[in-house]
Amino acid sequence: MKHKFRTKLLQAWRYLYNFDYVLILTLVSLFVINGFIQYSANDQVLTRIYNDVGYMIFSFIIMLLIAGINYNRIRASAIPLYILSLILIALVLVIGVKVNGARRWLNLGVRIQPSELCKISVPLLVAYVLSIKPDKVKASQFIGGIMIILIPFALIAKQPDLGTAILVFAAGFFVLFFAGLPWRIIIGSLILVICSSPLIWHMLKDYQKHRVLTLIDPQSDPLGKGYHIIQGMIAIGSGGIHGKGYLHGTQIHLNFIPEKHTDFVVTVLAEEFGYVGVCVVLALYLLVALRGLRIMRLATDRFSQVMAGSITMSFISYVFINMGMVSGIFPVVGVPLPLISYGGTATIVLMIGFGILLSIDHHNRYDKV
Amino acid sequence: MSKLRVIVAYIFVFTGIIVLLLRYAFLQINDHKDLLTKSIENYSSIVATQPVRGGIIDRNGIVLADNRVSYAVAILPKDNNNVEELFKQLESYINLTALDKKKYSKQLRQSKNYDWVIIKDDLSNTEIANLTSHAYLFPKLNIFAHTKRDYPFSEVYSHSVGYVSRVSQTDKKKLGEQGNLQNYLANDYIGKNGLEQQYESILRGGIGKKIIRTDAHGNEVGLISNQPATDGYTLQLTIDNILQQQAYRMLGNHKGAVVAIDPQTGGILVFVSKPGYDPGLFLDGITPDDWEDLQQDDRNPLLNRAVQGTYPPGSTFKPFMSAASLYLGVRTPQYRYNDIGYFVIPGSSRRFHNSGGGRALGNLDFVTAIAKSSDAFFFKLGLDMGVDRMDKGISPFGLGSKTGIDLPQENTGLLPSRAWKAKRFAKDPYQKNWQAADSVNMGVGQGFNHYTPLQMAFATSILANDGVYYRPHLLDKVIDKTGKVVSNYHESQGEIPIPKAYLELVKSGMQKVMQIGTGASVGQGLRYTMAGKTGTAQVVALAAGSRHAKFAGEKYKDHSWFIAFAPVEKPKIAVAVLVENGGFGAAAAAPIARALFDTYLLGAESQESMIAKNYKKFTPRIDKENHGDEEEENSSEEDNGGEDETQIQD
Repeated sequence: MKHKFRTKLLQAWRYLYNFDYVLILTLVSLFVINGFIQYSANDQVLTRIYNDVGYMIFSFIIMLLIAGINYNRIRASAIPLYILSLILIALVLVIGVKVNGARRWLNLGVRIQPSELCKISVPLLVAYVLSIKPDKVKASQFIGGIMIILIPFALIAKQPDLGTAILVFAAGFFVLFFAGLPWRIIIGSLILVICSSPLIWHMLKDYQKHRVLTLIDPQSDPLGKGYHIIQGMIAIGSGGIHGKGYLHGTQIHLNFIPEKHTDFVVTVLAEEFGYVGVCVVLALYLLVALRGLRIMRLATDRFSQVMAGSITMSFISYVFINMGMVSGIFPVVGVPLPLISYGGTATIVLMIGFGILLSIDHHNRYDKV
Repeated sequence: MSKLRVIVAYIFVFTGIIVLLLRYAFLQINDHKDLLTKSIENYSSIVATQPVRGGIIDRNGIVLADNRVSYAVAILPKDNNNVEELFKQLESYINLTALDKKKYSKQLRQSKNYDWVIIKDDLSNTEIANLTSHAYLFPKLNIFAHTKRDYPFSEVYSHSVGYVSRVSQTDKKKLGEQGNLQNYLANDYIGKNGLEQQYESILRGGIGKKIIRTDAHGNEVGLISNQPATDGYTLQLTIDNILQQQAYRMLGNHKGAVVAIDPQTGGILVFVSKPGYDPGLFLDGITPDDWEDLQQDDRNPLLNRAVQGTYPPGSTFKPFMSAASLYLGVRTPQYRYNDIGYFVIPGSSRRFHNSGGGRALGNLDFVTAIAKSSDAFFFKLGLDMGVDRMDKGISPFGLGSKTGIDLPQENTGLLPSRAWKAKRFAKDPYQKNWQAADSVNMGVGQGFNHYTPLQMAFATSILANDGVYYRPHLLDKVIDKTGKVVSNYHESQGEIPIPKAYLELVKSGMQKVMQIGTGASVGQGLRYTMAGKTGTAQVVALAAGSRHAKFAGEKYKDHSWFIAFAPVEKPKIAVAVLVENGGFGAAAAAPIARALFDTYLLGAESQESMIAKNYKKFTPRIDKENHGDEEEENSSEEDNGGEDETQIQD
């Protein structure tokens, strides 16, 4: 009896011991930073960050729950999840809530953005398709994968939400890339995109063209389209090395930064904590990415390899795009800064991804021993 | 999984991180200073507070220029984007002219973001009542009281006090060169003429600077710093308002100038140029109609005759010729000459006749020659002295050079020379050489020499004071709003090289003018000693005694001059009076000088001095904090002043 209990205890210990706590603690650190930054970004009104904190805790629990599921069961859910996403996106196009000329939200009691779900369901199904058989991936599988990506891509782009559409595309592409999509196809389509860029430019909506143009010269329209970028850069630059001090950012607290708690949240960090703060957060992001890539390298089967790779690369891409956009090296696209921007659907989707990552890691450590 | 793809993934991650690190370093380290400045500019906006412009008062404290309260309705440009619509709505409550609209758009172009732009100024009581009772219709409008320049005596002081007007682009350029631009707001007032211009920096004071913290929407959220405005100082002049009013009135409908100087100090007691103009016309930019009226008025009210008008001095030049000839040794004090009614240059046949009919005056010494104003005596003197010695003998009296009065745009006048004539008539081979006749004409103050009334008054004061002089000036002292003297005008003393004995001789000649000479009629019943000299400056050169029909009109009548000082023993006042087209000097000009002397020296109860008791006087301010109350106090006093002013005109 006593012996049995000890064995059980040991088993539980082994189960718990084999999670990637470096990754988990890094994510927790980012959540703590999120709390402080959001408190400042919301003008020190505690009630305004309840929602954010709620999302953080909720998504963290979801991550832990998913981490405990065997990833093969996750793999099995790929098809229903994908179909669910497609239905939701199609619904958005019909009964979606229109905000600022774009239909992106569904009102189901809470307002959700179904396109976010695609960021996880698309790579999941692509990975599923590519890992049906353990032997070398066939061309037909790749073509199937591309189709899986393009359908939601087109639907989301039609909302219109080109930013999210590209991110969904990227998430699927990373899967194909790690599964060994031939280089000649990758490079070939890259050349094709570059060559047809004038055509693409022609197809862009006016506001999208403006975003690119203002990136090239923000001063051309300082009170209009360039305003976000200019004020963002002023906030970042005025922070200097040490920053203006917590809660002392003038750009933020005097409302010069629109969307300071969501897409432009990095300005709060940069203005109040300076370059030091930016470096600390970038270091945490790097650590997350390195842990993710490590999980990918240690993974033993194709599904877990390509999923780990896609989740990690998508995550770090969000960081690059957001921080690049706010500092004026990318056009303004609606991509929040992972785990630091105000919590929402994006946070949950992100944490589902980390749940899958942890599940893959745990499986490799625990089940293999 | 292929190793290459893993390596590519790592390269992607590290490249991205490095690019971001470099980008943020660039912004936060390299561009930090620049962007920090921009962030400060973002939230700080400067609100200027206006200083109270100093007043201008006469020697007895009578207010000649100060500020009155005016009510204006204004709007912040950012609150309104349809001017037409707004004006249309407002038209039912206040009287808006096309000019108001024009002024509004002009101001709008020059204003900065947080400047209120005035829609209409000088609102009447009815208009204020209309607007305030319908304030709910115009939530963005602001009715506010501000101070405006006020000139209680209007045209009487237009040429000395001058006027203020809105800062123009030219002014801004000039202020920028002086590094003084930040002391002015877009639609500020600046002295444009007269003392208002000359002493702008003293009168103006310093603008106050309040830096407020604003959010992105321009709402004030805090105060960063506040540097209050420093009010301008008041100028106390040497001018005596009673004399000034008297001189202006006595010129009547004539054009002319009167300048009186205290020879002991150089302080100017009277500074009149008539006609003047209403300085208030220029306050908010003169209207094109008013400007055309002033420009095309053939009485030329914009000309400051006292310092810019130059006239041949006529016989008033004779005392200075006398002193010069004695000083240069051309004549001895004992010299006598027989006046036969005309003068002929030896070797020619042309006769230079005495004016006034060519009457022979007989054997004359200096004193009687001056007293009787013998032309023949001075024709010969002019010829004997010649042009080349003229400068050495005449320029000690300040004739032909600027007196240095504290007013802008003084004319130098003209003391002619051979070189000047050669240059002036360079294209005329006969005229360009100096002729003997030119010297002869100069002897009696005709011909080429031209002087301003101020120069003549200054020359007279030098003579009166036995060669000791103080440069003429209008400013006596600078006082602050509590009445404390901040600084006194520095009067430097000078002395001309002409011996006192010669000047005494000339002065006794001038005293005789008032007793037995050309000014005897004016010199009757004097209760003090007075010396003077009449003069008649020819507008058109005519043969003596003849009157050509073509030149019969008023505008061809000779200019009437009179210079004088009193008392002779210790002169307290020296004056030059010029009456344009006034005819004979003793008739038009001399009585004005006599009246001024009586008032000044005897304290005679003149019409002006009776009225003067009701003039608004400078009142020192004691309360430093309560600005609003002071303004109201002033405005009520100003109302009284205004009523009195109309009484004068009655």
